[in-house]
Amino acid sequence: MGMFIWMTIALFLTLAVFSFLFRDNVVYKFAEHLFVGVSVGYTIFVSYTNLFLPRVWNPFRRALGDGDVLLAIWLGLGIIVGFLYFSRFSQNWSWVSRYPISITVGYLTGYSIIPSLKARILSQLHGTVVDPAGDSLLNAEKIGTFFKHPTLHNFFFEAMAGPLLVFGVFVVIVYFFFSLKNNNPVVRFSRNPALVYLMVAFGASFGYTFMGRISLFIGRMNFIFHEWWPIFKNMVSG
Amino acid sequence: MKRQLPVIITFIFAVIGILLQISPIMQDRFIDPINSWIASISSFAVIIGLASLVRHHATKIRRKHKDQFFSFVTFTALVVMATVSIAGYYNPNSLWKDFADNLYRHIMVPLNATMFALLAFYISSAAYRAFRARTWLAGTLLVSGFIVMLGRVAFGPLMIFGEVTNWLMLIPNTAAMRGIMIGVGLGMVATAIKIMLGIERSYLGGGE
Repeated sequence: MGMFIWMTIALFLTLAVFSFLFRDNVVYKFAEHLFVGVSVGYTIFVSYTNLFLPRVWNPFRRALGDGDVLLAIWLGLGIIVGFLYFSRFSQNWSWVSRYPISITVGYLTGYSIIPSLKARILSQLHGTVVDPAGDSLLNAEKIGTFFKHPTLHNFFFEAMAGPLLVFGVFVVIVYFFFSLKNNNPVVRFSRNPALVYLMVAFGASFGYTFMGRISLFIGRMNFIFHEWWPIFKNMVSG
Repeated sequence: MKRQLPVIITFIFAVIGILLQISPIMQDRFIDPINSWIASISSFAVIIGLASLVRHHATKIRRKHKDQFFSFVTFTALVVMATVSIAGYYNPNSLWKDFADNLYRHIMVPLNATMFALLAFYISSAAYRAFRARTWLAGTLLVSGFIVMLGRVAFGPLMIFGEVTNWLMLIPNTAAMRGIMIGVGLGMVATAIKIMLGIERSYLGGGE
């Protein structure tokens, strides 16, 4: 019975959110505000258990217990600097909150430069030169394979996959390179192919996102008709 | 003091961040205490966000706004969810834990999933209005989106759409997204260097 009550609450909330499709109403507003509340409450819980306890409180207590005074002072200092954030609530002292902000922004900025270079630029360029197996993407052998077994699948997935990928990355990068004038022959030549690549990619991303949302909708309908409804029917029929 | 010192602090900590990435010796010795220190500072930022939310809703309640009931709902949900979850964390075999699990499974998950499911209707109506194949490039976007939508649920003779979808996601989509990502990466590095050198200071906010 307890589980049925919880499932009925979930059903009510699901229908409350979908009621917005008709028009904005009190039931939807209730669900919306409840969602904000539980999400923030859950964020507090996650920050407390995944950030504050393992990163701040436990190391601080351990350092005190081990007699590592220097580490304890260091972590205590961090907590004091963190408290400076509260100066934002005072009009005269709000500038003090710039110190914790500048420490966090500065450290994370410096710390992220090299990973950004590696993950977003070097790895992507590497992936444009060689495939995951380590073969060149501009591999003439694959084109040869197509001529031995000329099928559409071999043409698009084997022979032309690498060259089309390399060409696509090149034209899209040139399209977003604004330091050259529009009448530059390379920029002029790459404009239309780049737009085709971009439009196809945006369309594919749209379709992918849309189907993701539809699968969530199917998940909710499954919950109503395959989880809640059978239990309700059993209860009614006794 | 008010603007120059934070810029200098930003530079010093950015250099520390870079050194921790490039020096394995520094990484071995200092990464844990420094990361804990930064975490202890940034965990207070959550409290600031929370305080802003509380202030917004407290003002609504104080002024007896017509929607004050919903502010009460937000407050109650926030306090109950946080308290029960933390109580459940410290008492794993108690009713608190069961209550916290049920709050998560039967309130937060359905609300989250349904909010995103709701978007399916809105993106389809927006797409209906926006996706007019006025030019051949707009037509390309439309056709590509249509193929991927069909390809994700393809079966039987429609499996050809599944194959085409795989190819679209693997080649043109990867090429375009990779080109964009390289540009984003260059932008991120450039912005990071600007912040580090004090050229970009908007994160410090306005005022003196």
